[in-house]
Amino acid sequence: MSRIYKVLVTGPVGAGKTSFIKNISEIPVVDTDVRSTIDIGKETTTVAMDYGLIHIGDDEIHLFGTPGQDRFSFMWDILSEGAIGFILLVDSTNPSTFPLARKILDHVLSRFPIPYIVGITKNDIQPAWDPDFIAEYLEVEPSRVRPVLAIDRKSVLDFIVYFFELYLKAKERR
Amino acid sequence: MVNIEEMVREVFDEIEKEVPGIKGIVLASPDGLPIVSDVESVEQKNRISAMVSALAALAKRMGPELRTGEFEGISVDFTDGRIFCYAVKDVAILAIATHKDINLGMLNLVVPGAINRISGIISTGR
Ligand SMILES: Nc1nc2c(ncn2[C@@H]2O[C@H](COP(=O)(O)OP(=O)(O)OP(=O)(O)O)[C@@H](O)[C@H]2O)c(=O)[nH]1
Ligand SMILES: [Mg+2]
Repeated sequence: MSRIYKVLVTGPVGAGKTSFIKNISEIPVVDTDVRSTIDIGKETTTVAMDYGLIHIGDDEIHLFGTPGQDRFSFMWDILSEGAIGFILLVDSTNPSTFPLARKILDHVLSRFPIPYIVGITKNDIQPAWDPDFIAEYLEVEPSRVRPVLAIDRKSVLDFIVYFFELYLKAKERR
Repeated sequence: MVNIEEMVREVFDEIEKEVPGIKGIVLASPDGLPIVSDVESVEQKNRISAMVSALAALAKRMGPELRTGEFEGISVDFTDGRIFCYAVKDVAILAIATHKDINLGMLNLVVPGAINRISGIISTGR
């Protein structure tokens, strides 16, 4: 029987949330990117949500991406509602975003104590911070932290399958 | 050097004068930053700007989905008031919070002109 799961994809600005969802969605994604009026290191930014869909086996995974900029923090709660777990993406080349990553992690977990993993993006670019260091900074077990190239379909697919397997295992144990 | 803020504020004043029952007005950039606002606090100005842009961006994506044409605006009703959000071309979003019993006819009459003026002000200010 096919089941439906909602998964949140969150993280600071530029971490690659929109890219992540666009790269694996089987349907045209709903993206709400608009041109940024301030310099955030890229042209566009998400202001409401990204939405995409992927099947893993018979199961339907509905991916909801958040905006990354702090002023859209109200969307974190709105989009977390009903999620079975979340993926926190962190740009390993941009340590100035680590505090916000930590804030988002604490924020979501305090309201929705759901399973999560941390995806470390952009470590194909140098210099990049080590995933272990980022795990320590976020005070997260290293096993929850895993590199992912948000611009690479295969990498994102592997990552989401890994996340989903962890989730299913955790569910069995309960 | 034109002062965008002053000129937009003049438009706000006119809307408020023509249409009694307006609680606040915010002009936000499409990426959710306040441009000009007439609300109680800075905090409110920032949060409302972000929310309005999220709302408008999402609503805008429904046009192509339902083949209903270009996005013009969205209104949200509450027990004690309403919020109207209008696209100011592609350059901004105008949000007007009103009391529940606002004169809609009057608002609909005044807003298109106001939007045109604001879009003119913003493009000359660039
Ligand atoms: N080289 C490389 N580039 C990446 C990677 N992940 C993302 N990018 C690039 O980084 C940028 C990330 O942009 P988005 O996907 O819009 O980021 P976002 O997290 O959705 O950002 P906001 O919506 O503004 O919060 C894009 O230009 C991507 O091409 C990666 O793993 N490696
Ligand atoms: Mg995005």
